Amino acid sequence: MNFTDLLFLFGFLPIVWLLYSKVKLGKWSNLFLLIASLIFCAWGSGYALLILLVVLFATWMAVKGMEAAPYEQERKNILYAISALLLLILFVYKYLPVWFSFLPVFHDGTPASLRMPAGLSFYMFSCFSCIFDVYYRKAPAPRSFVDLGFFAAFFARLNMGPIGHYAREYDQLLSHPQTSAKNRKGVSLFMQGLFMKVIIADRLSVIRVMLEADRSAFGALVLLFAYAFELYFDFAGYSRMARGIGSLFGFEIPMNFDRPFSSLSVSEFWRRWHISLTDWFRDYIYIPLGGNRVDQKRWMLNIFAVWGLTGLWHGATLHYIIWGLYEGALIILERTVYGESMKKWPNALRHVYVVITQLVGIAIMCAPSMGSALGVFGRVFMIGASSFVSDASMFALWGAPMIWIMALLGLTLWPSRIAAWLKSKTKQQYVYVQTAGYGAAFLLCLASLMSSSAQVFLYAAF
Amino acid sequence: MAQPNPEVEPSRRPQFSLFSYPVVLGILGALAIVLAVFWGSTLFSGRITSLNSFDSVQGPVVTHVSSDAYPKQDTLALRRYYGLDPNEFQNSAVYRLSNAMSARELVIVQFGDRQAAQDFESAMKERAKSQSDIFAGYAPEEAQLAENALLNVQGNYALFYVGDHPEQVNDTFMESLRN
Repeated sequence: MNFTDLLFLFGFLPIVWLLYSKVKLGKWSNLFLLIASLIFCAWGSGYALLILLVVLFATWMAVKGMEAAPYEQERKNILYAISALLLLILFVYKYLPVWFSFLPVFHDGTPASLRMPAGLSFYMFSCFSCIFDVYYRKAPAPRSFVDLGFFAAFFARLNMGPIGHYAREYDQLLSHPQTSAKNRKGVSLFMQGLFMKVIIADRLSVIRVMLEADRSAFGALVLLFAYAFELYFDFAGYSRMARGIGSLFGFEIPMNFDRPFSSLSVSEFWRRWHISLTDWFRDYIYIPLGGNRVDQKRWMLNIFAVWGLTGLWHGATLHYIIWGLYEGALIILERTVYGESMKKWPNALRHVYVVITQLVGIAIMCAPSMGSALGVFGRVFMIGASSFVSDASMFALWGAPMIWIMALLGLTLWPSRIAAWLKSKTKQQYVYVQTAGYGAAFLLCLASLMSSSAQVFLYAAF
Repeated sequence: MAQPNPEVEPSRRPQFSLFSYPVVLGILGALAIVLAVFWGSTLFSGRITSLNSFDSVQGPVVTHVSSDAYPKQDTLALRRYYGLDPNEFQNSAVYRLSNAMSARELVIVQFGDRQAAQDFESAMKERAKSQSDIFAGYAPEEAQLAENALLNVQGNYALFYVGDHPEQVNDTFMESLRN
């Protein structure tokens, strides 16, 4: 089930929310949300539910075992055992079908029982967060299996994160009361996310698909922008919807995107893009490796290790690892070569630098292969291009001006500024303006969803 | 030397607990074994890619059918009866009567790519359905045979059989691939 499915929008979400709000669940609230999340998971496939339960049960045994173990060596052995088991599960579902595709069992595609369950990479990293935080004594083990299940598999973030950070969210697992302020915030975030996904990302997807067959230089350039913006609005939209759903159930899910394209450096970009993943790698890989408290050679090695693993997390094929190493190399270059001089550049130039480097990065990540990514870059510089400009590329740019304008505005602070200005002008009536705005946006999204032009979420593939 | 966990004094460690060290490691190990068995059974249940020659696969299978009811046809029979291009396959053999009154037929092909396997599979499914429909009106026994047609597509060999002994033919086919 997806957040944009009509069944979810008009069935699952309102029913679960109404039951949760109207029935006094008290200490059973986490259990109720866990059951709802398991139903949400099982809707996709029975295997997905089975694997989720195995991961949760193994994690639960391990963290309780670590908490009860009297000796450090025993804690460490449990950590190694659970890490090996979870990584084995991740390997079998995510990497084995790609790296061992020559096996006869994969000749006609991956069999259903070996297909990667939706959200595996995300909820498994949430489980690892719980394991590491309990191991390093940053937080106590969850009170019950239910608390752990709710933390890692809450349906708001089961399919595509944001990845949970156990120690930071521990207090909320004990209590996350619903309030009218949280409900209002939840509805706002959900509507904003739905709009970003259905109206902006899905329209950009149409442009992207149209331009994939185009062979002109200008078409390749517009394709790069369409790729990058689609990925951003798709995933940031989803993350905002997830935060909105969390808020509707009283649970605050931290921000996952913070206007990354307004960054002034690549390092800053990665503090603003998919924050839950970069935080995870920083806290559980980069810092234990020594972080930046080591000599420069070791630091560079740490950066490449972290970014190589980040690439590998996104996918099993070579271009993901190349993409990760490319981002790592940029961060190293910023710190060791041109970082200081960059601070003297005008901000506009720094923005251009970030946008160009990230267009290249996203194209490497999103292209089906390294060869096809290089083909797009080549065409931008007229290598292998059939012409400088084509009808399709001009149509892609000028045929849907509202989409490009909304996308560009959506990358900046302007939507918040416009909202603040409206609030100052309308004062008491702002709530009506806001309701009317979200109502109109919802109807627009609904019309788009019902026309079957909605696309799948891109990050679900990871 | 092992360092004690300050939060749990060894002297107060319970005799048996679900979360005691050996139980936790035992459960994690058992989960790994169960998963490995589950994955293993899936991974090794894939299609067989046989190194055996076409004759050594075809020979044992043909012993189950009589040459009167299943005379061998020329290579173009693959195109004539099933609409398949014989050049798409490395080897092929068709056994059936030339008259249209019998549903009985046996086809064995060897192929080198997935497309050929898919083409064969869809052509044979179509064949079984159309034969069943054709015979349904006037020869219910033949229609029943066509309905129970055996189609077995492996890694580089495939078999299509309409007749009285689908199980034996299938077993022999699989055995000849493995041997």
